[in-house]
This record gives sequence, C-alpha cells and structure tokens, in this order.
Amino acid sequence: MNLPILSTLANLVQAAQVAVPSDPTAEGTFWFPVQASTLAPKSDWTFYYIYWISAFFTALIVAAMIFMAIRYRYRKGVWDGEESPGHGLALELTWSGIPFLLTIAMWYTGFKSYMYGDTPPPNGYEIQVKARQWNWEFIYPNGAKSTELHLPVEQDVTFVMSSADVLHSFWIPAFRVKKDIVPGRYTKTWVHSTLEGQYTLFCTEYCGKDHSQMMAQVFVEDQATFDGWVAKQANPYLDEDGQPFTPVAIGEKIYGQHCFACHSIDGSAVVGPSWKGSWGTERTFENGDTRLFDENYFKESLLDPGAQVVKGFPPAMTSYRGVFKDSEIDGLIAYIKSLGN
Amino acid sequence: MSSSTHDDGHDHPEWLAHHFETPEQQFEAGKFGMWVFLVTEVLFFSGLFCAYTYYRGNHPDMFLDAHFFLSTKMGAINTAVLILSSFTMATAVRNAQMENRVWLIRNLVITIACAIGFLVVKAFEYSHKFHMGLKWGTFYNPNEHALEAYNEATGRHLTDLSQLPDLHQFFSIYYCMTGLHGVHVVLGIVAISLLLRRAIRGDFNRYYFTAVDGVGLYWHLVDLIWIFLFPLMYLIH
Amino acid sequence: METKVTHDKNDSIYGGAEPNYLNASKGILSWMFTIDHKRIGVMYTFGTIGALMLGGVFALLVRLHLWVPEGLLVDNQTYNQFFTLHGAVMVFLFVIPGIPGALGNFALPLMLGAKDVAFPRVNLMSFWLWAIGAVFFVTVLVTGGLDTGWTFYTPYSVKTDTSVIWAVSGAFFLGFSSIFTGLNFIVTVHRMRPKNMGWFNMPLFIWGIYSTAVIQVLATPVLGITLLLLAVERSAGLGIFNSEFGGDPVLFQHFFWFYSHPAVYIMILPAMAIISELMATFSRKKVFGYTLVAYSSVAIAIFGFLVWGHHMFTSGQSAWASLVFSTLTFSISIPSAIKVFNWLSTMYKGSVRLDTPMWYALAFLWMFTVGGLTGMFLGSMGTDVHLHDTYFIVSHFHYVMVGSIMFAYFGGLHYWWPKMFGKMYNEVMGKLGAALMFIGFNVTFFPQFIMGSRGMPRRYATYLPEFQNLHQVSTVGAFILGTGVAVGIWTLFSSIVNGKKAPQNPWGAASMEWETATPPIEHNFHEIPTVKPVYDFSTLKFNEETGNWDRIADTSEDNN
Repeated sequence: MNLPILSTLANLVQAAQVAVPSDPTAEGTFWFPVQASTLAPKSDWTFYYIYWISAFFTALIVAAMIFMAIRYRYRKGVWDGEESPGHGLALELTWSGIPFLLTIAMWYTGFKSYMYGDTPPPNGYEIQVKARQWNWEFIYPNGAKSTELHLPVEQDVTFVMSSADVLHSFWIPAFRVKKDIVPGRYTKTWVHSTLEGQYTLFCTEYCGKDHSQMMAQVFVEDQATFDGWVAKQANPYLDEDGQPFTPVAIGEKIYGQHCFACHSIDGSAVVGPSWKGSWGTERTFENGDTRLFDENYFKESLLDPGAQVVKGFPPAMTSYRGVFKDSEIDGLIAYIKSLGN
Repeated sequence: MSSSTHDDGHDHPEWLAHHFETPEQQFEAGKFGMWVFLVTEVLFFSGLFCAYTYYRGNHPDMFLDAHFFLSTKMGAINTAVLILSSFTMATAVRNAQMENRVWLIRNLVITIACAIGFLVVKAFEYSHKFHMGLKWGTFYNPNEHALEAYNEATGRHLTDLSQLPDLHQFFSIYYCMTGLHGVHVVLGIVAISLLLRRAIRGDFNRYYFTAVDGVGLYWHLVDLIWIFLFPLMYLIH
Repeated sequence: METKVTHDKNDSIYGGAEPNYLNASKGILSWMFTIDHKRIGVMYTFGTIGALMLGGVFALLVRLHLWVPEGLLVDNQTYNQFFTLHGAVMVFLFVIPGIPGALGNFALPLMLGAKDVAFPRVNLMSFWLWAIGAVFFVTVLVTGGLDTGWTFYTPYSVKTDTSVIWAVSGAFFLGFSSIFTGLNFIVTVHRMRPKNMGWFNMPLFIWGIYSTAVIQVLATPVLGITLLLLAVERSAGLGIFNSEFGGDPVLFQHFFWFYSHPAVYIMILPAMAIISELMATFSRKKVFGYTLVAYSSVAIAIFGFLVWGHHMFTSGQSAWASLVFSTLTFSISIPSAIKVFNWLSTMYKGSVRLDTPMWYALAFLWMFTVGGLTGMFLGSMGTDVHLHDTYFIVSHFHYVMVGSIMFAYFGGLHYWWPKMFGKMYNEVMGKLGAALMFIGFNVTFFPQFIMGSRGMPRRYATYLPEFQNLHQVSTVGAFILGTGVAVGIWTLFSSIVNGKKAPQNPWGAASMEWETATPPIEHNFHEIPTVKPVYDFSTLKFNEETGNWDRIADTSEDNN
C-alpha cells in the first residue's frame, strides 16, 4: 500500500475545511478574494484554466503511481516483473505533445491578461503613489494628499509610482494588480475597479524592518462620494456643504491636530504656556526681557521657537517652518484671539 | 581490463597520479579541465562586460568624455608588453615540450618581467587619476588637475569644476574591470613563479608538461581580456 | 538451470579482511587532508546535514513566530533575520552543494568504475571552500545577522547595517566551491569513463550530475562577480546597483537571477538523477525512454539559462522581455513533464519493491508534480502578477526545493548509506521518517498556496487575522516535518553504531558502485569491473541467506 499518498488526500481535505473563511461576511472564493476590478476575472480565468489541467494531471499521475505500485509489486515466486518495451516513440511524443499544446494556451491567455493589466489606458485619472519605508502616500491631481487610497468606482485610474528609498511593490489582491516600485525611476500600473468596498493594499517587495506593516486601506466609492472626499482632502477647511471655514474654525482645527498636547485652552500650564487669555499680554523671558504677545511674536515663535522662551517653561517646541500656509497661521492667530485676552 | 596492477606503484611514474591509467589520460584531463576553468573565467568577466554595455548604452556621452582622461599611450604600451609576454609564454610551453630547460627558464623569467612591467605602468596610471581626484562612485571628486587635463585634451576653456561632466559610473566600471584584470595578472605572476621553481628543479619532460600548458592557457586569457579592455576603455571616439 | 555465482576480486568475501576506505588510515588529519572522493563525500554528507539542521531551526522559528497575527516570538527585525538566514543557509549551504557534494562525490567515480575524480586535490579544495563559506555564514550569525533575504536585492542590501559583506563573501566562497565541483565532474565524466562505456551506457545519475556540472561552471561565475560588485558597492559606493548614486537596482536583479535561476536546476537536476536510479532499481527495470530522459536533463540545463527574467514580471522590465521569458519558461516544462511520465512508465510491468528509498522516490513524484504544475501559474504572466511575492510562490518553491530536492537527497542517502558505511539502517524507522516528512511537508505547505492567492504577501513578520487558521495549520505541519527529518537522520546515524552489516548489493542495483566491496576499498576497485549494459537487472539474483543480490554468470556471454 502506498500510505503517503492517502495521507496527502487527507491533508487536502483538512486544508480545505480550514480554509473556508470562518467570518461569514468575508467574501471571495476558496482560492481568491473578491473580484473587484476588470483585470480580476481575466487573471482568474487563466488561473482556473491552469488549475483544472493541473488537477487532472496530478490525479492521473497519482492514480497511475498507486495502481502500478500495487499491481506490479514484487511478490516472491509470483511476480518478479515482465518484459515490456524500454521506450515508445509514439507514447513519448504524445506525452510531450499534449502538454506542449496545453501550455501554449496557458502562455497565451496569461500574456493577454498581462498586457491588459500592463497597458494603462489614455486619459485615466492619475494618482501619484509615493512609497517609502514604511508607508504610502497618495497624491491626487487636485493636490490632495492622503495615506489612504480612495478610488472612484468604474473609472480608469493610473498609478504613477516612485520610491524614496528602496524597492517596494504595490499589490491590491482584490484587484489582482501588482507592480514593483523601483527607486530612481517611475513605474506605472492601472485599475478599473468594479465593486465598491474597502480593500487592503500591501507592500510585497521586502523593504526592511516594518515591511509587514506597510499596508494602506483602499476605499472604492461612487463618483460623488469620491469627488467630495478628494475636494475636502485638497482643502481640509471646507464644511459639509463645501463652504469655507472661518479663520477661527481653521485655527481650532489646527490646534486639535498640532498644538493641543503642549498648550491648553483652559489656562492650565502643560508643557508650554496656556493660550487662554494670552493674546495681547506682556511675556517675560528667562533673561528678563519682555515683549507683547502679538501677531509678529506669534509668527516668530512658531518659526523659531527657541529664540524667546517664556520664563519658567522649557525650550521644548520644534520649529513649524514650512508646515503651515499663511492662511493657516492667520487662522491660528484668529483662534488665539478668540480665546480672550 | 589490461592494467590491474598500478596501485602497486611500479610501472607508474611519480608524475602520473594514482587514479589515471595512462599519461595521455592525465594530460587530456588536465588540459580539458583548464579549458573548462577558462570558460568560468570568461563568464566571471562577462558580468562586468554586461555592466559596461548597459551603462555605455544608457550614458554614451559619459564614456566618450571619459576617454579624455585615459592615456592611450600608456594603454598601448601595456598592450604591447602583454602581447610580448604571451609570446614568451607560448615559447616556454614549446621549450618544456622540447625539454629545453635553459630557454624554458629564460622565457618564464621574461614573462614574469613583462607582467610586473604591466603592473608598474598600471600603478602610474592609477596614481595619476587619483591625483586628479578621478576615483570611483561616491569617491569621484575631480579637482583642478582634472579640469586642466580636460581642457588640454578637448581644447576647451572650462573654468569651473562644476562644468566637468559627471563620470563617476565610468570610473566605477573602469576600476572594477582593470582592477579585476590586475588581480588576475598578480595571480598569473604567482602561478608562473611556481612554474619557474619547478622548471629549475627539472620537473618537466616531453611526457609531462601539463602544468606549463595550463598556466600558458591562463596567461593567454589574461592577455586576451586586456586586448578587449584596451579599445573599450581607451579608444572610444 | 544451475546458476554460477562469480567471485571477482572486488567481492566482499575476497576483500573482507582488507581495510576499506573508512579505516584505511586513521586520525582527524587523515580526513582533513584526504583526497579520496569517498571521504570527501562523507564529509560533505555530515556538513550538509549540519547545515540542514541549522536552516531547519530557523524554519521552525519562523513558523512558530507566525502562530499569531502580531507575531509570537520576536520583533520584526529579528523575524526578518530568521527568514533571511533560513533561506541563505538552506540554499547556499544545503540545497546547492547537498546532492552533488555528498552523493555525487561518493557515487559518481564508483559508478564510472574510476579510482577517483579527475582532480582529487581540487575536490578537497572544493570541500574546504564550502567549509570556509559555512564559517562565514556562522560569523554572520554572531556579527549582527543578515536581514536582506537570501536574494540580497539592492538597494536595501547596500543600506542595511547588518553583516551583508560577511554573507556575500561566504556565498562567494561557496560559489567557487560549486564551480570546482562542477569542473571536476565534467572532466571526470569526459575523461575517466571506461573505454567501453559510451555516453548512452551511463547511468542516468551521471547524466544528471553532468548536466548540473555544466550549469555550475557556466552560471556560478556570474554570481561570483555580482556578489563581488555588491560587496564593493556596499563598501566603496560604486553607483552600479545603488540607485542613490545613479545605479540601477533592476540590473542587479538581472545579474542575480542569471545565476540563481540556473541554480534552481543545479538543485533539481541531481535530485531527478537520484530518482532515475531509484525508480529503475526498485522497479527492476531500465528507465523507460532512457535516451529521452538523458536528453531532457541536457535540455533543462540549456533552457535553464534563458528563463531568469520570469522572476521579474512585475519588476518594471519591458513587457516584451517578459513575453520572451514566459515563452521559454513554458518550454522548460516539457522536458520536466517527460521525466515524470517516463519515471511512471518505468514501474510498468516492473517488480516494484517499496523499500525506504522507494518511499522517498514516490513521495518525490507527488511533490515534483505539485511543485512543477504550480510553476505553470507563475510562468503565465497574467497569473504571476497576482501570485508573485506571495505565499503561493513560497509554497511553490518549497515543493521543489524541499519537497523534491530534500526528499531525493534523503532517498539517495538511504539508498547509498549501506555502501557508504557498510551498515543497514532500520527499515521501519526509515519508513516512519519518510511518512512523517511527507505528511508534515504537505500540511505545512499546501495551506500556503491558498494563503498566497487569497492575499498573504511573503516575508511578513505580522499578518492580517484572516490568515491565522491557515498559518497555524502550516506551523503544526512544520513541526511534523521537523520530527520526520529528525527521525530520518537519527535512523541513518544510529545505524553506524548498531546497524546490521550490509551486503555488497542490498537493493539489486545494476550500476558499478555495487560491484565493489561494502564499504568500498580505498582505491575503489582492484580490477575495473566489466562494463555491462546500463540498467540490466537480468543477471542479478537475490540470495536469501546473505540478503545480497548476487551477480550470476550471464549465459549469453562467453565468460570463461
């Protein structure tokens, strides 16, 4: 008996049972995640074509092996082999020829879906992909930047990709799309997504320590949602209706992102002085000098925080030179003013 | 099988290894082995030739500009020296075969002298380039001497170092290829010196000169690689 | 009919009292400076098994770490070192040198009826170059490790602060070890064959090792120069491979795979060569379509040079280059298919004996079928885009490099072990080892196919929770596999101490290594045995008393 073979079959069954997704909401098939792009069905078709041919030949080979291992096993005094031809040209041509023809078909369908995936259509919506150790940044045509990838559904989207350091690779399994990102040159790929939902983008070219954390969320949305998101991303100071923020609201938003950890708005001292009631007051420094807290002092402190540190506080702040636009600095000033003096 | 007794020692000259049946088999095996080894040497260098082709294809100007810094005269002298050494090496093989020990020794000595001469010229070239700051890759940092040499060679009148073309990849490839070739010349000197010792001892005869033959083949290959390097580096126009 | 048992001078009964190669001389120095191909083969056997165990420890650490999505054992950096060292040790120290170094060295000259390889001293140098390479790799372990992956891709390998130079130097020495082994075998096969043994009267093991040797000699120098350039790039900043100084990382990939794809055939051809021997001997039949199988080895060796670009379909090389590489990749599947069908047909009307080596051979057929067919998914450009750099590919090459090659290596070891050490191992334990390895292997790697196509990238220290079930199955399998390997190694090594004395020809094999004493005498043969038609089992008859297959007089030949 040929025990190893039987155990393999058992393994297959076992693996199949385990592989059924335990999460009932998880979609996709035994072999694949959901098909979410126009490329996916083409790529999967080739996969299944090769798969069934492989399954057939594997079954054939294993069956023949088990059969012959049993049928022609050595039995003392009963069976010790028999003459048979040492070669057979027709037979050998057959089993070279049939695989040859089958592989031509694999080669051809594989080539076609590759060319489809490798040829970005003209006039696609273009997203710049910046990869670096170990995160992704996506830059949209309107200047919006994001660490999440948002795509409009049923749209051709071209990715122009570059790397700041080492090799990376851009892979979204649901789209079956993958392209390496090579430092020193641009690489391109594209998708036409067909299914709204949330997917994962992986880096699949080993890139160092946190390679396995270099992922990004991919959101495929209808055109209107996408347009709203990308407009808001380009200008974060728009409200729900697309109306611009007041300067105070801009300042408040920036405060919540950058300043809140060190400066309170309730009068308590944290790392730095509180903003509440500070506008227009006289500030005293370590060397005894004093200065009025006005627009110029605020801007200088933002850009060169170590120059004039208020007495009793550590010189802990880092420079924000180049971080904020003038309108954002104006917003901060308006916000501090609004906290009273 | 006819000879079943040779592990007893008699009938088996000392230069015939125990596992060979006949001197012919030993000679054939040695020669064939040497040829196979030379094939691996060619492939070893072929990687660098590929890199050369790739970068020359991508940056033809860089390779054109670089030749202004290379001395065709020194390259040509070295080519002549190596061709001469190949000739004396070939003659040495013939001398070994003819059992002409005196001329075998003389030819080997001349070959070694040529090889050393080659390295000396090469050392002059390298130090001249180092003097101009023309090193490889990240160490490439041409100075005013390089500017002078460039103006002289091209008849131009550049005044600022930043106007010089950036040739760091050419010099990376130049040092890799000529350096690796130089290492092979050094190994050749070692091998020929060992031959010389054995020749003085009188190890070689009309039946056994495999070692001279093998080293000779190696030396011709080292020569041949230089014959390719010379035009590819020095004679770009 | 009376059968006459012939005793030539090589028989064990004649040379029973005579020293064999193992005890002809004593002391550690007599091994270290031996130029006897058999002793060098034995040293390679011990060395490569040691490397297998070292690489195996890293494999188990990798699998254990992946028990939970956030990683069980170590931080990301350490995990990256685990998989790198696992790959580098296994590839450079075990899989590439394993079969040619250990079994090729031991068996090939014997099979040719030769007294040694053509250049015994060069052969010893090969071994010591291997040992130096191994020392370099061990040095890497204690000097900051290595985290580039075994592929050393630039520019990461230029930027990382781990011991890349040590590892690259080690691989450089191992490359030259491999080159000199190949050179030796090529010359040995060409020049040391008995005069009346034609090319098509050679056992297929020799064909396989010969084809391997051709690749070793032609491809390995390119790896040598690539690694040398990488080392100089790292230490002196050349700007050839490093994009920061205008170099091209894709050029490195071309250079690397120009060697490393043929290297896959350096690994698999000797494995196929062993399987040909095992299928013939244990089916008591000449390999079906011998000539075609021999030619297919050479065809694989040649095509193997032309397919390296199929590792780079997603790398940004031109689509048309990819197309050519895909075409050639499919071409290479045909000779592989031919081999599988011919091995199967060898069993037809044979007399199939399922001794331990044959268990490994049949396991190989399954492994190689799965490993080979999954290669189709990757040779096809469209599907490769999705599957590249995922667990699918990890599983595919493990089916080939472990499932096929390690199983063939173990099959070959169990086959030649009695000849090497003159001892029979315990059959039951041998089969237990084979079965455990087979089960463990499939449990480990089959789930990885599914993970890969479902979206699990390779070389990930942590992963998404949806893959946890499959990862855990895989980890359990790895420990079964590890147990199987341990049982197999234990079975073999313990036989040296307590095994039964092996007869001269325990398997009824027809090639010439079985015509000399067990273990062989120091210079292999007193008298070169008569060259017989290859795989002619008709004059071998099993002797119930001694357990030996005696050579009976061939009545068709005048043999006075």
